[in-house]
Amino acid sequence: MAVAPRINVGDDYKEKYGFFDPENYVFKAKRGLSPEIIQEISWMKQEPEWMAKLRLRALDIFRKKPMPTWGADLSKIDFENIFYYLKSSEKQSTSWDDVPDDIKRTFDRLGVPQAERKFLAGVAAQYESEVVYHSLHKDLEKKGVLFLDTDSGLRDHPELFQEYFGTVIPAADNKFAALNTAAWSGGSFIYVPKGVKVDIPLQAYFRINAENMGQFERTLIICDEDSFVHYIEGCTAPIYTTDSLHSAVVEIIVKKGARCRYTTIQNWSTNVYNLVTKRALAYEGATMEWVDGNLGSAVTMKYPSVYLMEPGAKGDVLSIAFAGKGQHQDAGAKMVHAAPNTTSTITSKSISKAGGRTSYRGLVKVQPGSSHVKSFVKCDALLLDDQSISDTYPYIECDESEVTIGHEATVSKVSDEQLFYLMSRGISQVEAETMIVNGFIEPFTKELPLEYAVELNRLIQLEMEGSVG
Amino acid sequence: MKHLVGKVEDQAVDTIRKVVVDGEEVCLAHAEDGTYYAISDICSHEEFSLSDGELWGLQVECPVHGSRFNLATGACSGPPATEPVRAYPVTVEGDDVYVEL
Amino acid sequence: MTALVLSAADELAGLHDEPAWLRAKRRQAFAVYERLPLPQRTEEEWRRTSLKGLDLDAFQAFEAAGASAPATPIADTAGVLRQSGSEPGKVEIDPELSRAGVLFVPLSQAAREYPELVQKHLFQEVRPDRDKLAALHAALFSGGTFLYVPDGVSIAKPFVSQFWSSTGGALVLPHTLIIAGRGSSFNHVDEFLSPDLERPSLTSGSAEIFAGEASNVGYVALQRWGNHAWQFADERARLEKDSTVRMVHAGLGARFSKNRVEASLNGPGARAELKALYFGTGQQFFDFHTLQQHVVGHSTSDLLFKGALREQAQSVYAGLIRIEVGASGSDAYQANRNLLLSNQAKANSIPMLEIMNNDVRCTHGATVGPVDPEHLFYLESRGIPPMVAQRMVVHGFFGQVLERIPVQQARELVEQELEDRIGF
Repeated sequence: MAVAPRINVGDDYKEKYGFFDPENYVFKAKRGLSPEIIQEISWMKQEPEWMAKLRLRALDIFRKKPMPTWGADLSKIDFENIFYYLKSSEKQSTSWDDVPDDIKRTFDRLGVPQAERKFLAGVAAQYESEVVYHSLHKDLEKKGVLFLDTDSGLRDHPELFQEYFGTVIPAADNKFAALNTAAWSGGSFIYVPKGVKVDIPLQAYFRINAENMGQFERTLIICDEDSFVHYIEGCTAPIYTTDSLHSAVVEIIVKKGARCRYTTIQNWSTNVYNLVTKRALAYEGATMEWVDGNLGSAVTMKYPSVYLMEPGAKGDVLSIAFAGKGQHQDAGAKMVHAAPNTTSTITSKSISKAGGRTSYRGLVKVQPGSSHVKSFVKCDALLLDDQSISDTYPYIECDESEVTIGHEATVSKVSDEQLFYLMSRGISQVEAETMIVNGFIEPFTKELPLEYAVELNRLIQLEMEGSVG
Repeated sequence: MKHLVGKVEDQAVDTIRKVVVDGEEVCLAHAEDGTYYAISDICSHEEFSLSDGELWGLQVECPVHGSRFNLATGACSGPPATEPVRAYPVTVEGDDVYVEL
Repeated sequence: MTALVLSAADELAGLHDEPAWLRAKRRQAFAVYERLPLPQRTEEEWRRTSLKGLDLDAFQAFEAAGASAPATPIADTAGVLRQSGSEPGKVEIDPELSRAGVLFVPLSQAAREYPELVQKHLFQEVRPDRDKLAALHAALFSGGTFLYVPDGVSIAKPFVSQFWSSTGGALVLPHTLIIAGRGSSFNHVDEFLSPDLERPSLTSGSAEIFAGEASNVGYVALQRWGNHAWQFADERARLEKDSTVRMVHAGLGARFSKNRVEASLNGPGARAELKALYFGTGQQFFDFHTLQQHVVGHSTSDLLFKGALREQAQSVYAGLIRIEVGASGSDAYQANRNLLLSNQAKANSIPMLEIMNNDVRCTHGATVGPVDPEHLFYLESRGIPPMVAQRMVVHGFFGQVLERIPVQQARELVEQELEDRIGF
């Protein structure tokens, strides 16, 4: 019987977040990718054989698949110079003094507690690769809700796992899904039983801490019939790391009558490549909602999707992207209508500043026989100066006549009239622009839990002042 | 209508190949259970050729995006494809393999 | 069947008595044709567009003169050019206009008589190296139109070129080159037509338009090839300061039709209007790729592509508004509307924006859907029978494009064609 890996955590963290005590061992994979490293990862985790095989095959697929030729520039990623697995107890040399001043200032301005700052800045070296931040409340346990890190999920619930893992996003789906399937570690595993409504959002912080360390979380969420869950990943504070690759896979199954909301606030430091595949299957009368905020990273490529598999299913994506200097946010959404009477909406708001580039890339697909589909896509882009770039690439593929599909997009600058109005009332230009931007993303902000909304508005203010690292 | 697509000994067990039957591209499988199966060769997702993919027991995996299709029914295992592909009856008479369109 | 060979380029040049420089150009394009593979589905532009069944080597390189045109050209014109298959075209022009310096001649003749003017412009905007089919068009174009209107000349009546094919099995690749002098104003209609033939043909109908400063050019392409045709064409306009170009494309014919419709706005005050309608029936397939390229600012582009699809017809619309760095004050609009009249019809729509300047106004939209039941209900509640109501709605759908066809005779012709197709 496998033993749970145990992770050393600081005492205050234990009290604060309810971590379990880790077993202490040290394993650090070599840089780069090879079948040996993949096998080592699987062995370290004491995984069943089918998972080891799946990983090896995924590695093979990853190697065969070409890099995407569309989207953002990925040519600088050096796959051979990345650690594909790093055990949590490995001591890192990073100290608080090494953290850049601008990141520290941002923490100050955001009011992040001291302990969390270190944690977010990668100083608290215990918290790598494994998911350690889970607070699973007692009443949830009683209801039969599972909320584990994915490694534990595989260990403790192998049947559930084997039934669903990789069925929503097969390894061959795309190059980065293959990479994740080969090298995954950490992430969340959630199971909500029939009829159970989880009334508090489940939150997990994911981290990248060590230099050049890839982070390949794997999240699997199963909402059984008529259940509800709201899951929140990420945080508004910038997560500091040096050059790194973050390539997660999130698979969600929303069964008949259930509803799942997945909220992401992504704010990786601006050297991270964030290449994520997120997909949900929504069955009869089910609702899937992606609330997706992308602020940080050098490059993000992320298109949360919903496959509407049975009549009455509903998909919503609400996203914002903010690209500052040197950043490219290539984000969007996909809605695949595979059944009649399904509906979807996509609302995308993007802001480009100081030469940043935001691209909306989306797909609405209606399969033959999926009549009475309704889908509406609205993309608005705000360009804050004349060096910044905005792209819109919406794809509509419609194989059925009894449908209503619409797409609308506008690109504009901050209106002079609005600015003038605010400034004539004694508000500085930066403040006025900040107000306008916050107003622009308000449809997104109002869907966030209050503390996240407040933090996001503050963060936008920092971005607008140009004081964010 | 039945079309002769080859001899039993033409194709090893646990392999797939593409045959063109009356203009239709068909993925012909000689499965691990010893049975011949035939499904449309064109993936319902992005129309790549399934016979370029791999056989996994009684399923063919699309070579490009990884959806799998059941040899007997054409049913799709999951995304990115959502539609099944057509399955065709196969009969073996003596040494001859026939696909019925 | 014979493969297409280099000597065909020479033969065509000989047939049209072309000068040496143009022969050389054909040969260069043929080399590109031989070098390039057929476009693959893995290329984004061709991802939804399958060339399955296209066998370039099955076509003869040119088509001898056959029967006379299946329809008379538009009447009441400034000039008419008629060309059958690959035979040199014949021109009639108002002598008054010739005296004013207007040149309206077969393209090969222009290459011979006005080499400096033609050489400077031919295949500069419609580039042979874009793909194998564009290269083939440039290597083996079967003639076409050259229209030059000098500075300050305004012409009310339209120029019309009519190209037809009557045997099938061959390449029929007309090319139009239009040069508008400063402040000139005129309209030109290209009509491409053939009956439905037994053997497949490879056709085009490409046009390049150079709109000089403050010129005002209307261009209409009536694509009415028979349902045996594979059609590949590029229409591209280059607009200088304060010029206006109105392009309208009516996609009615061909079994397979792939068109790139593009405008590059190279001077402030330039204004491009790109409109199209397409109506697919049976197994027809339409692919439109459009580009509104704002190279400089204070320019305007307005695009509207409307399509209706019946039976198993399919369409792909993919369009890009590109605002280049520094092109401030650009105003661009792009819309694609699709009306699906059957459950088997399929529409793809991809309206795209690439905006590199913040001082712009850019809006785009796309819709796909059936005839609006509310419109039908409104009409039926006023006692109009359902069939008639449906016709009215479809007709109304195309109205916005029809009214932008700058030549009335062409508009009437398209309306008539649409009437025949709506035929519920």
